[in-house]
Amino acid sequence: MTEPETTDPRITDPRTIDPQPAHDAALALDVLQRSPLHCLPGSSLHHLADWSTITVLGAGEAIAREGDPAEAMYVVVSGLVGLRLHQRERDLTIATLGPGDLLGWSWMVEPNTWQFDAVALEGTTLLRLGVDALRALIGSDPIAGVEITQVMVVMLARRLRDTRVQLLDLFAAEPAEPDRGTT
Amino acid sequence: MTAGAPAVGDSTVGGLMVAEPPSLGAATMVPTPYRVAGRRRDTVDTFTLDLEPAGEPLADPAPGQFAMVWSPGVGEVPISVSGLVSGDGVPGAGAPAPGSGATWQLTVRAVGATTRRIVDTPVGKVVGLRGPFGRGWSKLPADRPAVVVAGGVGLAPLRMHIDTMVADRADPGAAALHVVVGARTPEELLFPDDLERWSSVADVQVTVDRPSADWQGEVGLVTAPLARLDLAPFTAAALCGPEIMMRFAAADLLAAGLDAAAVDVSLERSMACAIAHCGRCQLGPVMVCRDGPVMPWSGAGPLMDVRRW
Repeated sequence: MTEPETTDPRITDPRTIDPQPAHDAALALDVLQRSPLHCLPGSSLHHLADWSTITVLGAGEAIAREGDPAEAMYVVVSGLVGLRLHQRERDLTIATLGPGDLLGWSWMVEPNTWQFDAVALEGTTLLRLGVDALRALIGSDPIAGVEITQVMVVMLARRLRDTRVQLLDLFAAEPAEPDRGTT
Repeated sequence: MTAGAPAVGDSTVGGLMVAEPPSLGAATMVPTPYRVAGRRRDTVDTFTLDLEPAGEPLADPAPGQFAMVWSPGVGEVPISVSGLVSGDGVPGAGAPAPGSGATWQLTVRAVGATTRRIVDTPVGKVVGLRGPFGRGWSKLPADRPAVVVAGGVGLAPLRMHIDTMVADRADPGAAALHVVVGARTPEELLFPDDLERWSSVADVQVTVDRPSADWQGEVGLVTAPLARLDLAPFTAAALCGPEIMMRFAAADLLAAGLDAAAVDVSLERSMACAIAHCGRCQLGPVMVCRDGPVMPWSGAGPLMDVRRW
């Protein structure tokens, strides 16, 4: 069986990508296996683990800025990441991501730029998955591509649901029912 | 009485255990005078009152039970008990026992004329209490992992339950206890001192919808931190908050493998008589004042899909 050819110019043959500088691939694999990407075929997880890097940030350090090219997706290993919008000299945190969460879907959607700032709210460790590696995997392994797409759709659907519920402002005081006098 | 511990005479209606009407003792029909011994402002519109018996005390409430609180000349409303101080009774022991004379703590959100009058009751003045009513939270052994999900003032009916579980889990070998709390803003977060105290034993996570500029914690729905928990399938859960929040949280817990019969929810309905006679709180085959407010999701879930009009 011949391997599918990659026709998308953005897709690189994964065999031509050098593994990232030496890092703990076992740790990266463990992180991936406990993340939403755990459903990927084992060989795909090993490839991603080989191409990933561990990033450690201190509180307040930026991971990405709104408008930057979306060149990576992250798995939060530990800590807390805030998604923020900047408005009138103020950063508004609109959501947070914690251990096991995926950060970054803009690499899948044109124009492939970050939609929000992403900032470490406390000491945070991330597993960085470069877009070249992800696209290469998707281009060379359709099953992995479908699985990754499905993981991202589930994640987006869940965040959309939560955002919609948040918009209801459930904890605001409801208008009281007419009081029942007892005297 | 605790949920899941039906009394003699209980029957099943529509697959859901419903109780026989309670005996109409004086404490269920006539308000008992309790004096306001303390009054604390928890948030901009929510207060906790310490109420001491001004005469013969009521039976001690179990965690999750509620009382009808009467402000003379204004009205009567159902309020869940959020604390019991200096009691030597045995809450949740089943048959009503003579009250220990403990101070009841009621956390009240002022949203109408009656609740506003109740929270404005000066220290030393008297309100009337009927109760305790209804089924409370299922009592859990210390070796069973548990998760509590509270939203907004929904933390108040869970406070005694969490206190009990934290006390039971002081042993390092006890099972995990997770407490996930959602609030509208950091300023509207209830019981921050309790959250701090519980965190010595439990994994406490707090998330808000609208963070202040200096908030460094979680932002979002309770389902986000809930999804990150590694819950064993035999974990028990207790949920209290807006029904929409409870529906999504319960759905996620069931998807994580929890048994619907082990997921307790506290239903908020407009109780009036509190003794299952007036029908105001009827929900399908059950009277929430008598068969609730705490019910297992296996029974409550299908009923919560019934639209009210």
